[in-house]
Amino acid sequence: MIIGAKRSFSPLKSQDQDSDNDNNDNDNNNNNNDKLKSEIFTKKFKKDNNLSSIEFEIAQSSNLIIKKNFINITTFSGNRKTRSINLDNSNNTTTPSYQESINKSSSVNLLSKSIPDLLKEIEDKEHNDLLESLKENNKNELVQRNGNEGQSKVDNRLWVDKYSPISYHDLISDDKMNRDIYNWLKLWDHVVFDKPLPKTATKLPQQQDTRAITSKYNNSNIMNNNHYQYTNLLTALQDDGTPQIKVLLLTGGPGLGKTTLAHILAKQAGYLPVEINASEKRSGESFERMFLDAIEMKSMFLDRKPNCLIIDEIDGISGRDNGPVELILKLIENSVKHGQLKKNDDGSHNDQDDANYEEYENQQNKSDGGMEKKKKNEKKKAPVTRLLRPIICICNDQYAPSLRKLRQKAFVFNFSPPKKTRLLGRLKEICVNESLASSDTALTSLIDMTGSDIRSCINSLQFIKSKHGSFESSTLKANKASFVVGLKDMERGLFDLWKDLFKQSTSTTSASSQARSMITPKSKSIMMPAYEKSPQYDQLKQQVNACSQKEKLIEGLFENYLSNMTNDFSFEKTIDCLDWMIFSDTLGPELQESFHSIVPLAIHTRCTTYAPKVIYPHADYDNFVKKKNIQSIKDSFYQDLDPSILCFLSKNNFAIDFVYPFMDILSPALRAVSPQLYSQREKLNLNHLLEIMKSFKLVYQVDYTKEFNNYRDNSDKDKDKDKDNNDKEKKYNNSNNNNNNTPHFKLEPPIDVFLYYQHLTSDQYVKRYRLSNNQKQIVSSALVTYKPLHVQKAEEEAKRLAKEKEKEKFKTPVKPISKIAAEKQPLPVLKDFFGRIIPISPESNDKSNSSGSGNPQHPIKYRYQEGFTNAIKKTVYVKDFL
Amino acid sequence: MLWIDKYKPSSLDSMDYHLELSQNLKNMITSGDFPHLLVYGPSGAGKKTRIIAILKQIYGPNALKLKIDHRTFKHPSSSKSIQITTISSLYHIEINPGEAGSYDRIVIQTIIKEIAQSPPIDNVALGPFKIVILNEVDKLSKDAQHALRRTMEKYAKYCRIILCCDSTAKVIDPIKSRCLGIRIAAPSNEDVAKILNKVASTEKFDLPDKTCQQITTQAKGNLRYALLLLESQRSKPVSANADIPLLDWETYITVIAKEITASQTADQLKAIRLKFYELLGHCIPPELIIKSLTLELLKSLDSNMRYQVIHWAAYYEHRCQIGAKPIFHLEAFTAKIMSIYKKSQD
Repeated sequence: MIIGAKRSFSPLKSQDQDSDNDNNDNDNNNNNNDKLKSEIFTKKFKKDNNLSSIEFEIAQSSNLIIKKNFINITTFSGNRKTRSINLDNSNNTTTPSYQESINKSSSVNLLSKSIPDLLKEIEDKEHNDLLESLKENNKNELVQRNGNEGQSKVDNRLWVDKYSPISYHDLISDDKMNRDIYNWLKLWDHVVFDKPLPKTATKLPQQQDTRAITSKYNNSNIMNNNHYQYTNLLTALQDDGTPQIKVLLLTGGPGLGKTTLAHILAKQAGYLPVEINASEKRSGESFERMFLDAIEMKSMFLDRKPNCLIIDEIDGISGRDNGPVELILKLIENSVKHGQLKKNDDGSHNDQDDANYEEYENQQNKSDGGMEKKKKNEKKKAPVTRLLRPIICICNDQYAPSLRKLRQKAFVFNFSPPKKTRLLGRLKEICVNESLASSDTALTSLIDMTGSDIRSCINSLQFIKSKHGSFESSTLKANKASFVVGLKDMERGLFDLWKDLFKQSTSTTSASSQARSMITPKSKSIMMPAYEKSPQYDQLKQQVNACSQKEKLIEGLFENYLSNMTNDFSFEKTIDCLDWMIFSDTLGPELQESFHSIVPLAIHTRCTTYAPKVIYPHADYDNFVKKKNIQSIKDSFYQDLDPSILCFLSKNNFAIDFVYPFMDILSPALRAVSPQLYSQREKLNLNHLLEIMKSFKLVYQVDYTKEFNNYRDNSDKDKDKDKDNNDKEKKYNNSNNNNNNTPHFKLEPPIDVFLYYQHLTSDQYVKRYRLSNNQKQIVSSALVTYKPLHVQKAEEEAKRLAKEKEKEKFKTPVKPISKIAAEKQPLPVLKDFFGRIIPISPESNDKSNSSGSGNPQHPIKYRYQEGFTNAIKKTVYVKDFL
Repeated sequence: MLWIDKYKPSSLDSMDYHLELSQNLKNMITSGDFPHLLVYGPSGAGKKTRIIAILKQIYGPNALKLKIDHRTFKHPSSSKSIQITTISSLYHIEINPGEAGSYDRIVIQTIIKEIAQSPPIDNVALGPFKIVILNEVDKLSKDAQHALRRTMEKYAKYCRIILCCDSTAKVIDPIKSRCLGIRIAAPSNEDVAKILNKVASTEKFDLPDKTCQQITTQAKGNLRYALLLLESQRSKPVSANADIPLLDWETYITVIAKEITASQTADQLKAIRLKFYELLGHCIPPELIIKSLTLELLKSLDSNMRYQVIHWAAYYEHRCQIGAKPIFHLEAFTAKIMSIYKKSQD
């Protein structure tokens, strides 16, 4: 039975499907998308024909058995409909095709027309519907454009959307920039659409050239103003036909039309703009997926246009390791590299079909070797695909720290506000369309108020329309207090704000003098009513309130207020300003928020000039860095001190009363001669110094970095110091200074930085004796061989014993040598010296401990004399002598 | 070894001055138990020396076997880790909570509790309690001081805390009341001179009376500084023996003082600001700058102005303590003085 039914109804089935399809079409009259969907759905349906058709037939057959005049239909959505079968060919059925099909169903042939005919009919109908819907759309568009008969439901849209430009010619931003961006987009045609190279493109013939330009371009952070120079760069192509510049970065304040521009130009150039903005989850992998999808894939539907990726609000992208930006950078780098590598490979693929593009890309990847593929698989984070689609990044703040690297790679377009006249024209147009009475002056002031922010201008206009019906400058003025629509929190550059704060405006002078009497630091909490009369003041207040970098703001004021102070001979205004700054400083962070704007404004009332000079405040930061440096030197000094010293040496006192005399102690008067030639006392001093340096773990190191740069500087200093020294030393030092080969020695850790104060004239300097470079060298070399006293003593004892033994064996081999050495010693020490070498009674040895035992580490001198021998043949190592 | 270390008395008996105090301390210790101590006095007066001597008196010479630990621990809420250096022996631990900056409260809460909570394992050998030495208590934040408060009471059984600071002005009252305050005054000039001569004679170093006097006046009771000066004199070339220069930063401040009185213009103020930055950069605390500058200015002013200068110095020093940007306060003070000076000249 079932089988039989199936057989008999099989022609009907396909008809019904088609007719249903037709139904659908009629329902979704104007909706292209839905139509498309249904198309796909139909295809799908046909695919798993078997199953659904069987179900369908069961339903049909069962119904037929019950009521012959009705037919049961299951639509795609699963709805079941029961239709009466109209045998009389009447006109009241919904669709002709349906009617027809039903008509035929009762006949023997079942169909009046052949199936191909029916299909054709359907196709025609579809076409007509589409045309109709298009017409309707156009009509709507026109309605919106004209706005006068704007009674249709679409008119509820925001004006911003309604009047947003829809083609290149509607743009009111800078023409040159528009063209440049468009040209750049067209440059991709070669790779994306496989068109011949555009004539404007400058192909860079040699790799070297490419590099040169890139580096040049990297070094100079390209800005808008000099981008004319770089138009060449912008139109430059790599060897593989991709543009040299892979990414554009559009920057500028909000509401200047950056996003709109990007979309329109992308459309114009034949791309499908794909936008990734802050509304999406843009961190880590989700961004990566989205990003790669956008540049690698292509839409199945619509016009099958290639994508043009627009990353909106890129400065707001979060990510722990700055992932998204890094990703883009990596991609750029890869494709730049690729471009240089794939020089020869390029031509062979030129005749690839546009639609096969993905394959082409894959081939390229393969030809690059499996390595890249592997990488792609094993590490998601390193996408190796070339960048073959234009990317436009949009941000408000191009100096956001996360964009630093991108800024160097991308070509930066700085959006300046559109010309006021153009903006005004556009606004007027809108006003006319919306039948909103307006005047030029009112519109101009609106533009001023919003800082040429197109979006907020239009928004304000719409608001005004709904509120007042007309827009005159009178409304603007009369409702000043309540009129807040046009004003947004503008965050202008700090620089401008400082300038404004220091700028004297003619009308504020009277107000400020009034107000000055009203507010003093003692009555801080009172707001300033007298001020609110002046519009400039109002504006300043707005700006200060909007400023988010309060600390920096105050810092800038502090650093610049003195340069902009006028007529303040009694320092009253200065003191007032400072009091205000102190006030801001002493406020806790909780209170600071609520008193945010008072301090800058108070300073504004006291300190203004007609031509403010403002420099960026860096002194505080410099000082901070310097202090940090010095502190880290101090810390490194403390790092591995002996606990017994550390225990008594508090860090706080170090810079106050310790380091200065300590450095004096470290700079004893040493003659710049070999330590062997020192007198007893000098040797003592040296030993003492070495001991201290050892215990504080200080050393002199050769400073290679400063060797040449500071040499002159250093020698000058030395000469300065020499004035204090006696003539003899002067002579020594000078002779040393002449010797340019001596390396520069530096104390490590360099605690001597504590002694160098800037901003002093030479006569104000404290004249202290410091070691010269040569002396440092002596100390440093002595430090290497230095051994603590007790070790020395033990060694000497051992040596003495060994010598005694030697003396017994050979008569007097040592004596003459030591005599030679001894004769060089200054006279008064001679005796002591001998006392140490020649064994004497323990008491006298002890006695000389404090003074004598700090003596040289070299008790004997070894001198090689040619042609002379004492005929002693014995292996003696040099170390035994030392 | 520097002379300051070499001639540091290691026991209460060998102290050179404040003999009565030493005797009292000794009596207190030998009587067995003692309360928490708050040792205060000017820099270089010998606070630390006496604290170590107390330790030695209690635990014997083993207390001087010190070791250094660098301890790192996690901030409980944020992920920041705090590093701090401790000096410890078997019997005591010394901490400088100021190192942790604004996290000093955490240091107090964790380290001290950790030490204080556990009693010494071997009571006989290690004594009845451990000792915690806290340096620079006056630099502690209020939070940290309050955290210390309860700890001091709660664990008094097992541990004694010795607080050490320059001035008690910034120590909160509850802590002061829990401690026995011990003031170590700066040694008198005679004391300093005596010690200088003693050291010089042991070092066989010829110390003329004139130099000795110069050192003592310059050190102003700071014995550490005096001894360092003495040592620096020793290694000086003979011809340079004539004068002992001021500390570099002191000289710098005298330069500033001279500039203030020389001319009072905005440009001068700017130039002086740079100098202040330089001083601050050299880790000279702003309070000290104001103080020294005031003292330096007083030398050249008449009595009426002196009064005003001192008034404003106090005013701005106080604000400086509250605020966080010393340069504002220093400049305001300077501007104020300039204005006063200018008025008096007219």
